[in-house]
Amino acid sequence: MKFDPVLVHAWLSRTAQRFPDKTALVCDGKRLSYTEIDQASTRLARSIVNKGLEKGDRVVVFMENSAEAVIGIYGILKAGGIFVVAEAASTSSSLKHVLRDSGARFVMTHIDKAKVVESVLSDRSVDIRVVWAGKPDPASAFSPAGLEWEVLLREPNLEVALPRVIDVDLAALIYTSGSTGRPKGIMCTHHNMVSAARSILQYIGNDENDVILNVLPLAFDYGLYQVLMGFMFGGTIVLEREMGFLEPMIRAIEKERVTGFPVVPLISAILLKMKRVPVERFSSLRYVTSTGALWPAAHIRQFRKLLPNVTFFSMYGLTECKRVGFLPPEFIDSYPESVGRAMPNCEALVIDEKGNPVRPGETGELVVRGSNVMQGYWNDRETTEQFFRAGRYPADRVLHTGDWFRLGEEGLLYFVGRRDDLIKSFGRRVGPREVEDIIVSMPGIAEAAVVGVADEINGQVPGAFVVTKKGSGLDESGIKIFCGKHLEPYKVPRYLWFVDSLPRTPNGKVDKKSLKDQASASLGKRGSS
Amino acid sequence: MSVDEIRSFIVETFLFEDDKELSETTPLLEKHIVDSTGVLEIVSFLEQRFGIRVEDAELIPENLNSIRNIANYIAKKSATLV
Repeated sequence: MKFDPVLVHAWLSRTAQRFPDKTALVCDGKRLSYTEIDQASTRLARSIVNKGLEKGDRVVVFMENSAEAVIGIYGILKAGGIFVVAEAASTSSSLKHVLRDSGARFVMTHIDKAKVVESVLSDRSVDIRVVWAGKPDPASAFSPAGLEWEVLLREPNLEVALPRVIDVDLAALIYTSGSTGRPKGIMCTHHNMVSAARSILQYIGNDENDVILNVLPLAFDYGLYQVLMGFMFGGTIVLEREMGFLEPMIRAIEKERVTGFPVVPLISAILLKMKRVPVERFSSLRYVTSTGALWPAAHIRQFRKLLPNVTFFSMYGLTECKRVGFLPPEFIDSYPESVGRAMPNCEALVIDEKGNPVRPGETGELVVRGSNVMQGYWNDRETTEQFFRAGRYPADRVLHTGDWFRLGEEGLLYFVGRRDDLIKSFGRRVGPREVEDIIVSMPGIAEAAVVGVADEINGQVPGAFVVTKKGSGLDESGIKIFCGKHLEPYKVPRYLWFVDSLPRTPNGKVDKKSLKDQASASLGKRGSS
Repeated sequence: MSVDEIRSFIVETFLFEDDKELSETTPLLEKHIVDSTGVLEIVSFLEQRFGIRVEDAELIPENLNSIRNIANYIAKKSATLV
């Protein structure tokens, strides 16, 4: 009998055997076949091993969604490395954090990121080899020092043995914000990633006829898995740079006859803001998935009316276990507020404070068991132990999500809120502490508190309450500029309020609930302006 | 006239860093100055300020991805208004 591959990259090679000439990736006007991607990633793997990469070394991929990013990920895996995709919008301070925290030996980047990369490398505390993709602008004086992508890919048949990898080896660190500190790298083994992917493929029912439009960044697990899963079932991935202009996106759906369209609620909100949704141009669509933030029931209803023949999957998950569950499509009209129930091969339980499952109608914390539960946070045993708890035997671990859910009819789950103050903006996580730490590091600031403020399009955006020192002379734009130097744009507070002091709870903690109320009261007064 | 106005709207709304490097032709999306929400904000600014209607099919980089593209687009739209 024939067994399925257990390694993320082995699925690519297997699909390349099944469909050698099929288009695997459409990106930047190029079309790459499975054979081309499989061979390019093998050449890259041999070259970087030849340049000194050892098994288990971390390699950061810092580029826009591109064919190079995809080939890079598979090349790193074949070389026995652990890939880390840094956000394309990273500032030099956040890139430095990811490079340092992961202890990466190599970074693969594109020449258009030269400014950020060079500013990180000028700091001698970071010792790392750079692989540059792309050609420098002949008009600029910049000439990159390091390895060249084109050269590494050209090395013909290097006699280099690739290391042996098994499925309990780490494949990736996925950086994501938590309630405290800077983003943490979630450790994912091959087994975790392949298991999660198989559960998802099972309920979506993908096959090689699917063409997926991916406008989500590869640094975001939801975007990354579109490629990993597509390469498992042998589909075609139409990879766009991050979602930007609507018309080119719709043209891509039409031209490539896209069947699967993963969105975050932001994208669905933007589509519904169109003067007229051109439904006839979506005729090839078979399904739409949404996760990253709660998908408003009102949007689901509008889409169901506009696109009655499309299957909608409203889903819930967190990077710590990739995905938890989905709302079975037959429930989408009757229970659109629910995020559904556990996906195949995963258990999701709502428990009370004593750890016992709650009864229907009650609220508790969601805990998750399954092979999709990742290994914890890189370099952070303490936080790992807080969220990833021991189960009944060593291999059984239980993820405590920190998300509160109500258990409803049919075993369906309803999101209620977070245990901590994590903000979800544009489907991505913003840790209030991370933003607060940056603001407070600014001269002239005494104290700061950041809360999530409701926003029609993004779900939530960060808002900051700031106490300045006397005579600091700081104004709103000065603080935003400072934050923008250190944080990605979506983490920069959209709203700022100057206050004399922060409200406290009786035990001395900043009273975030009262700040949230103040924020919504203040914005309510301001109206829609 | 409108170039300055568009520039100051973009600087005030999106630019959290030095505006020295923002030229009339800087690609707004590629440089991560504006994201997809930002595109919507630009559209509603243009519709309110210049009294035009931005059609769905006009949401393309050629019209909106730089200060100069936006200014040209506004000029074209305003000409057809009269």
